[in-house]
Amino acid sequence: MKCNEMPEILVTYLYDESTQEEAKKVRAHLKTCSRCRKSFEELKQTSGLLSRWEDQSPGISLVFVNEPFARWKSWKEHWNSIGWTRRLSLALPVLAVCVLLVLSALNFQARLDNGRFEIGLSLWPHPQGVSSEDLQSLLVDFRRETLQLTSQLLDEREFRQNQAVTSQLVRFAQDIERQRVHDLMLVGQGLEGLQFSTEKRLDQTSEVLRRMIQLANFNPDGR
Amino acid sequence: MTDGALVKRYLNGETQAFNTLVWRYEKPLYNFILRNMGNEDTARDLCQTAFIRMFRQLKRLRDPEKFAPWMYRIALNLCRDEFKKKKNKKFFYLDENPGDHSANTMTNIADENTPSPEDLCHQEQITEILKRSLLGLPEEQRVVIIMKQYQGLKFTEIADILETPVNTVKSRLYSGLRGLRQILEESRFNKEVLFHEM
Ligand SMILES: [Zn+2]
Repeated sequence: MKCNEMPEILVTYLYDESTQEEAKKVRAHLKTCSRCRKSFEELKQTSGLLSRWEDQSPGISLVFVNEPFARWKSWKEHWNSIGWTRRLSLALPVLAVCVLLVLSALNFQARLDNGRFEIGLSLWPHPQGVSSEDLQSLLVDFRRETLQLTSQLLDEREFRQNQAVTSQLVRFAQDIERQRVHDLMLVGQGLEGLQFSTEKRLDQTSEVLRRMIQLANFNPDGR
Repeated sequence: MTDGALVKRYLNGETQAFNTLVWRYEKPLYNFILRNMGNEDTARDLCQTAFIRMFRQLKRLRDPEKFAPWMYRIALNLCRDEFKKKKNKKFFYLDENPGDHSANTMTNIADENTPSPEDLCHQEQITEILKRSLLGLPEEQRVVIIMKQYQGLKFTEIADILETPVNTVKSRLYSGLRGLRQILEESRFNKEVLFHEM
């Protein structure tokens, strides 16, 4: 054992972490080397003095319960604990999307052109310089177009209504026709029945008359 | 039950398992921070902050069995942040009152409102002297001394927490103990008390 290797060996021995074999060697060296012996005694003294500082009671009592916002908070903690580069790499895309959304919201464009409705989202602002006359004429055009469209709508609606009424009338007429045919058939059948029964009656009556005539012929002095 | 089992239970939704971990480590962690920072109020605050941070970040702990090293790392980071804050404040203070600081390093290290060791009883004197002397050491040496002397951690465990080779830990401990002895010998505080103890 060399003296210049002793510091690490001595503290290991002091705190009882040497192997049995190593401890034996240390004791042997300390017997022969006064410098290391002195050094070891001082270490032991200092350590002994340190042990006079006893543990104190913390005087706190922490009890943990489930937090309702634990997830959000842990995310926040995570955010705080990560480095700037990671933060930047997380934040930049989000920021970019936000900026895009704001820009497109600012330049939101809706147009009504010859009855065609157009919606435009654009990244760049549209030219702004519109005079009040232009605006007026635009407004007039817009009104006219609206009027046209409204009248078109009305026309269309009327047409559709007419169509509906016509088709209903046609169906109604067809229904009436069918009903009439049916009724006529019933009347025909009824008339036939009547004719038949009338003929039968007439036959019966003529038969009775014939018998009466016969009876009258057999009994000439009946009256 | 091992730390790892408790961590797993907590991650499965048992908040009570985390409270068991708090009860297990509250005192050691508080004393670790106290000896590192030298102030009870600060230690109490940082200890609470450390547990709250653990409570929220525990799912990011990869190996549940390594709860204790992870806990010490969190506490250490909090202590370092706090030291930085204090340092900035102190510089500000010194700039405002350039001639106001005493020549003795020991009194500068401790807070102004803590009592001087002469006013205290024997046990309290020793505690106060040790507190101030430890604060006079470089942080890397002080932390190793506290971990070995008071937390009773193995050299390999300390190396794991500090992510440093074991031999570096040992040489820091050696230098720390020697430095501490020097500070104690140079101190103007009641030498009889110390030499009686030593
Ligand atoms: Zn030697």
